[in-house]
Parts: sequence; structure tokens; C-alpha cells
Amino acid sequence: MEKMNQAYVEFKSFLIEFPDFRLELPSLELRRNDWVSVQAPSGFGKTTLLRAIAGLDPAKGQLSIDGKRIDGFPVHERNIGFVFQDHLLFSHLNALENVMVGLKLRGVNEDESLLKATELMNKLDLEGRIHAPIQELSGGERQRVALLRALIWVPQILLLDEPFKGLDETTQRQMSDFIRQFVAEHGIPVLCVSHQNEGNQAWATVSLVGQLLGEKHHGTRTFHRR
Amino acid sequence: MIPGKSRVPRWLSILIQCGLVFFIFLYPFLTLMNKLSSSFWSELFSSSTLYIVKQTLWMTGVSLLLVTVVALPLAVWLSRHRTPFSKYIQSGFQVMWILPNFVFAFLVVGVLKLFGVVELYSLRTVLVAWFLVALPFVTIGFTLALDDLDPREQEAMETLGATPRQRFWFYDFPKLKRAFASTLFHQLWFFLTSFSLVVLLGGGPPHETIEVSIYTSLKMDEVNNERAFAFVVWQILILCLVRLALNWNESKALPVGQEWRAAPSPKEKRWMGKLLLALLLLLVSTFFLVQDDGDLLSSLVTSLALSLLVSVFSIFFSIFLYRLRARLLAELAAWTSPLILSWLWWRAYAIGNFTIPSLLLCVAVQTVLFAPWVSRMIFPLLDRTRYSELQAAQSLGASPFRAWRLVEWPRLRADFRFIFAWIFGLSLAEVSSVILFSKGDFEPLAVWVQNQFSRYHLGDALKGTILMIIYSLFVLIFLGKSEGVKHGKNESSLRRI
Repeated sequence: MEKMNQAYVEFKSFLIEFPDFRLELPSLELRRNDWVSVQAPSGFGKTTLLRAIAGLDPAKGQLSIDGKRIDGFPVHERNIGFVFQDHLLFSHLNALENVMVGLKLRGVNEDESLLKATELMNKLDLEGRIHAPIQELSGGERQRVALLRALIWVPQILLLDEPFKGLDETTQRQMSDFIRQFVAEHGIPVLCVSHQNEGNQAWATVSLVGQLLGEKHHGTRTFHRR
Repeated sequence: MIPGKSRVPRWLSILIQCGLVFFIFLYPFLTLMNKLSSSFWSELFSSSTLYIVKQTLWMTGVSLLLVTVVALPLAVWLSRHRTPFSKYIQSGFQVMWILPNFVFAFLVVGVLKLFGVVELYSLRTVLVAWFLVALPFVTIGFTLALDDLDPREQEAMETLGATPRQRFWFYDFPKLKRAFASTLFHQLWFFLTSFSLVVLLGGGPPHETIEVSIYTSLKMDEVNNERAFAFVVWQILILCLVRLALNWNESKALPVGQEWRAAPSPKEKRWMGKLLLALLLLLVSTFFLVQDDGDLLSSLVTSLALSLLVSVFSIFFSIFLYRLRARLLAELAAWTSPLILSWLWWRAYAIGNFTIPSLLLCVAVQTVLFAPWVSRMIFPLLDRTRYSELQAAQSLGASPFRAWRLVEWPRLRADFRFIFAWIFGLSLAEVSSVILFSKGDFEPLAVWVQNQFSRYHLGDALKGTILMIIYSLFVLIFLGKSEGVKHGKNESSLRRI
């Protein structure tokens, strides 16, 4: 329990800088079960922030997980789960293979992966779509497969980019309940960018709100805690 | 004619396809078969024929393996490292690619002899030469396929923990195995129909290939139709079997221009540099032409006209085949060598008694010969036609053609330009079909150069060769390069076949 209350993820002077773009994240400490809601207008740089945390875009400053600095690590060594806005599922694999790919990359035994993947897919009502090609899945099904793909290997932190976009209310609820249960069980902090799900704000333990300092197009973008 | 969904009725399409198959393949083959004696069957399975088939397969297999082992890691490196050095390598490979075959053969001979790597007329020489010829093509084919992958999906794979090596084996390779196979099939076709390199470096037995055997069986003084046709059958059989084994149901070609590719960046248009290079090339060619007595100029003009017409007609013919849904027909000409097809057509239809102007006949012959290669590039492009956007444009009041110009043309323009440039280069270097169908009333540059070589006028031959390279480069510089910008972190420029 004590471990749960300790700082697990730490951001210090985290800064994303391009020639005409500057985005700062205040120093921030997250505990294992924190849910961070990120709110800002369109085009502010929310996705860029998540990409920089994952190591897909360059950033300055410090990022530590469990006391270990990972800001210099390449993407594949960061252990950060990322659910992309466009799902980005692999079209040469079916739904099950997509879910299992993270375990396969870590050399997990095939039978064990299969068992784990089918169990999780059943929980999200995907049991009838296990062997379906990606092209045949609906938007909601793709979203759920993308979520499972990022979660199944239990990352150290989970980044969600508009995970509930375009989903009906029932599916949203089902997905958000599942995520909350899973991350609570495994102690994974979540950074979630979402416009549409009010629950995202309701159950957030930390809320970050975007603020523009200076002129409209070239000013510094920063996030402050609400 | 707007490329896109075919409105040709199914019955009419089948009728036209059957007609084309009959006139292009069946009739010429049947005409020749009719004249064959019974010794054809004994030639087909004779020990000398089987030995040459085995020898060809062995040489082809070894060369393909060698070139794949080197080209694949090289292509991965070129695709992942967008440094000036890697761009120079790619540009260098593109230049080697447009060199006429026999010119390349002479270069290979020179280089190999210079370094004392090989002795002429040995098996090793042919293998090394094949490897050197194939490396640029296969590497560029592989690189272009790798460049076509969606970098956002590659990033998604990395966030799941894939190392660069794992990313290749779990994502890049499974996505591209058909494209890789397609490139290798193209190369296999080249090896199986390779003639000038083998003759120049291997000289014939015991390193004789099927194509060389066909040629030696058809030499004017000792024509042996039965033996030639036996080899033709083996050549078609091997290519058909390989083709079927590849199970080409989906992606038939090297992928060209994926949808995620962004519009060209204006910053990448280096017009001034291109213009200066073009002026330099023109200056060099003018220097050669001024020194000449007029033969060279007339050959050059004929060649340019022929290549221009062939490039345009090849593209239109491929679009026509696409609208007919004639995928199989589009590939048929690639199941044997251009030399054989030209010869069969000449035997069946022409034999010197044709009334159509021979220049037009050459254009028609080359258009059909190059159709498979053009189709392999154009069909996947047209498969990705964005019909919903076309309909959206039409709903705003655009005519079908205007809608296509508005929606599809900006996406296709760069690739069509490159295809044009590539076929232009191929046609510029094409010799056998011109020799058969020209009736001697015109002499394109490639034939002129070959004649100068055979008369040992090496200075003139070199001049002509340089001119051919200059004009191929000229077209490639202005039309061939299409630059695009990838999304995501890679931000690398693309080049497609």
C-alpha cells in the first residue's frame, strides 16, 4: 500500500521544442494508480506531448519511471503502452495476433500468450472476432483491440490518445471500466487525452489544463494542474 | 480515358482479351508449332537441352541468392538512414539501372579485368556480372517497398517494444514479402532472359543459358527451329511455375505510392540544380553532335521519337488493360523474353512484307513488350483510386474527368512521370525488336551504337553510348524523381519505381 502512494513516474522540466512550437509540462509526480486527464483545445499539442513521452518525438528534460531515468532511452526500451488515436493496428495480422504481438516481442510462450489474449478479448466482448482480419472490424472493435494490444504486456505507464472517440455510450463505459480495473490491478498510471468521455475528468486524480502564454501562434504552451 | 472503375461490359472485356491473347501469343506460337518437325519432342527432353536448363536454373538460383543476401540489408539501411551518403548510393544505383545492358556488360568487363577479379569466359565472371547488374535493381526495388510502409505503424510496433531487428521481422518483412517476391521475380525474369551479358562474358558453352541457346539456335546460317522452340517452352514453363508458386492474388507489383504519402514539399524542388545539370548534359551532347557528319543526329532524333511514343503508348495501353480487368494478359509478355516474342511476331506476321510504317510497328511491338512492367507499376496505383473522393468531387459539380484531375492526378502525377522516364530509358536501349521490324529504313541510337561496336568503331560507339546515357539521365532528372514527405519522425523523402 505504501508503495502505491510513492511517486512512480516523475517529469522534471519536460519540454518539447520545435522551431515554431514550444510546449512545457510542469514538474509532476505520479503515483501508480494516478489517472491524469489532459485537457486543451484542438491543435494545442496534446498528441505531441504523448508522443514525446513515448519517445516518438524529441523532448528535453527528465522522465523517470520507478526511479530510473528513461528520457534517453529509445522507444522500444521505455515500456510505455500507447493507444493511438487512429488505432494503427497491423493489417497483416488478425485481431488476436494484434493483441498478442507485444507478448511475442518479449518472447512469451505461445500458449501462455494465447490464453491471456483470449481471456482479455472475452472480457471486452471480442470473443466472436478473435480471428477476424482487421479490415473487417468495426471502429469500436478496432479501438478495443488497440487497447488490449497496449495493455496485455503490462506497460509501466499507459498513454491514451482519444480512446473513446466515436464510440457509443455503452462501449465507452465498458472500455473505461475495463481500463480502470486493469490499471488498478497492475498499478499502472494513465495519461489520457479525451474530449468525449466525461468520466475521464470525473475519475481523474490529476487534471492538466492547457494554457497558452504569449501570442496566439508562437507563444509557449504549458499545462497547469487544476 | 479516365483510369478507375471499368465500365466495359464483362462480355466485351473477355472478347477483347481473347482477341489480344490470340493475336499476341496463340497465333504466333501455333504458326511456328505447325512448322516444327517431330524432332521437337526429342529436342525438348534431350540431355543437352536438360543440361542447359539445369545450368540456367543453377546460375539463376545462385545469383538470386547472392543478390538477395546483399540487397536486403543494404535496402533496410538505405531506408532507415536518410543521410546524404545513402542518397548518393541510391542515385548511383538509379543511374546504373538505366544503362543499356550491353553498355553495362562492357563496363563490367572493364572493371573486373582492371582489378583482376575474374578471367573472362568463366562461370564466376557471369555470376559476378549478374550480381552487379542485379544489385542496383533489387536494392532499389526493396528500398522503395520499405519506403512505402506506413511509418506510424512502424512507430506503433516500436512502442510495443520491438527492437529495429524485431520491427523488420515482425512488421516490415511480413508486410512486404509479396513486394520482395515481385522484385525477385522481375530479376529472375532478367536472369532467365539474359543474353548479352552471358555472351560477352561467358561466351557460350559450358556456361550457356536458355536465352543464349535460343539465340544460337536461330542464327541465320544454321537455323534450328525445333531446338529454339524447345528452349522457348522450357523458358515459359519455368517462368509460369515460379509465377504460380508466388500465388499472386493480391499485390501484383512493387507497391507504388501509398495513400499516406503527403504532397511533395515545395522545398524539395531543386529546379535550379536540375536546370544547370540539364544544360551541362545538353552542352556535352551538342559537342558530340557538332563533331558528327549527321548519322548520329539522325539516329538520336529517331530514338527520341521512338522512345517518346513508346512511353506514352505503354502507359495508355496499361490503363486500357486495367479497364479491361486484363491482369493475366498484362503479365503474359513477361513469361518469355522480348527477343523470342519479337521473333515470333516477326515470323507470324511480318517476314519483311508489312505495309504499316516500320517506325509505328516498332512502337506497337515495344508497347506490348513493355506492358507487363508498366502494368506492374500502374495497376497497384489504380487499385488505390479513391472512389469516394471522386464521387464527392462529382457531387460538387465536377465532370468525371475533372474530378479525376482534381482528386487522383496530384497523387499519381509523380509516379506516372517516373514510369514514363523508366520506359523511355528502356526503349532507348531496346535493340532486338528494332532490328527485326525496322526494314533497315531507320537506325535508332541503340542499334547504331551496336553496329559501331560490331565494326570496331569504338570511338563512335562510345560517343553514342554517352549520348544514350545523357538522354536517359536527362529524362530521369526532369521526370523521374518524385519526392514526398513521410508523416511521423522519419520525414524521409520517397522514391518509387
